Amino acid sequence: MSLGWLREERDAHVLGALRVAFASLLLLLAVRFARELVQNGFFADAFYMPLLPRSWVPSRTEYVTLIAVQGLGSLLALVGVLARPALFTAALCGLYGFLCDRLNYHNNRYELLLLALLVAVTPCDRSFLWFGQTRPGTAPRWAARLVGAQISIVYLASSLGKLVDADWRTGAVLLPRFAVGRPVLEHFLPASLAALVSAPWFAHAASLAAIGSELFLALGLWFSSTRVLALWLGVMFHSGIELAAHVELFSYTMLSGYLAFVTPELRERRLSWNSERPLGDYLAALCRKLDLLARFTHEHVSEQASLLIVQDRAGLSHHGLAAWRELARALPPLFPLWLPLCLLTLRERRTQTYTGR
Amino acid sequence: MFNEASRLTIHLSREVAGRRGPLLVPIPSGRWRAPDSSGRVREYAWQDRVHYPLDRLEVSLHASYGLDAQLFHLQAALDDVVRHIPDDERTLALVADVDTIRNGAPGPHVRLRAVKP
Repeated sequence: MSLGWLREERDAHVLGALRVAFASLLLLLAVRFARELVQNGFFADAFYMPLLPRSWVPSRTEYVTLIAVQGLGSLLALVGVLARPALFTAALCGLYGFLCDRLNYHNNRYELLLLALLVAVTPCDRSFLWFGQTRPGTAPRWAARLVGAQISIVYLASSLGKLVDADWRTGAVLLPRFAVGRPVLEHFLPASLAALVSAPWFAHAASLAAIGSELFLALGLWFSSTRVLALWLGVMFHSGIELAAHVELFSYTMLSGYLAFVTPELRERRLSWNSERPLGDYLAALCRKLDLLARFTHEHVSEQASLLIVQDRAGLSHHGLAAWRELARALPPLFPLWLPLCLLTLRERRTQTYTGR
Repeated sequence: MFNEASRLTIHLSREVAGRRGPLLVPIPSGRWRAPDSSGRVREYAWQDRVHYPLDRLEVSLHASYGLDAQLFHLQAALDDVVRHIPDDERTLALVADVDTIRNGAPGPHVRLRAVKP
């Protein structure tokens, strides 16, 4: 078995963004734990179910300290001070809390803590630092692969679990949920359309679509030919979950984890704006701010006919809507626009200007 | 995604000694009164020990992580509460009668019982 992936080294810049994302989520989780402590009291003062021996369960004071350490660790990791040990410690504190009371277990919280632990193992302390200098360069990639693997495991386990469950396959699980949502839909849609969601065949089709989507996400993220589509589908999938169900920090956790699949190399694309047009200047400045993952070199060109020209990794130049498509593909805040733009530009010829790469 | 769209409704009762054998006394609010060994009447509440979501009785609850998980937790809750009512001289056991709905279809009626040590 080839172990070359253990020796692989790639640019570590994007891993800093991964650290910031998970440190932020871990901080929010610590705040949630603190709020639950204040509102519901200390868990061990009532019925609880520890996985650890009861003598290992912390006292109230020790539990408060645990939450405080998690919060502090998250904050330090966020700003990049002792980032990796801080993130690792914060995640461990949260996981320890889980072992103390299984009634507090939530899939989404466990996933967040586990991913934060894995992110702490990556070389994520070289960029996105509030203090100190960024350290550009390559670093071992294997730990980031583990983060990606954990993301895929969630989709794989979920899809396979649904696939082997007859109730899920036939739509029996989704049908009651859709029935609850039907009165809400009737405010926005004609009654005949809203009634669709109560139809067994609709629930069946939706179930198969959900299973297929999760299976595609589990596998598609790993192949360059399907990765972008899988990422786009994942963004839509989790945005939908967030709007429809709001499962605590789950959607944000998974979307943050997608950073582990971003190509590590920086500035392999070129973005040039027509600097003679005020709009060009404004959009250039905006895109520079939105280019959090350093996907582009940014240029102002006065002789350029088009407002925007984007040169992709292969050296092909894109104008018009195709340029906006390439922009949307690589700028996270614009990414939801990528597939619609792809569909709009399907037939457009690409202007091929090779730069001798 | 969620593994089930199941629900459960918990009906709580106390088992006390009757003239012709054990008697089930419903406690829909989760609160009851019983004398201790000195005859003094004390108040007890299911909700003193059990918090959300299993503290909610007589209402249909979503079964997070599935019916089996919630029934497992409920049994543990019953075991815990009976351990924490040592002064209650009347209660012999706590019984939870659970109506279940599994993925939209009526499920089995489940009875869980915890005997006071």
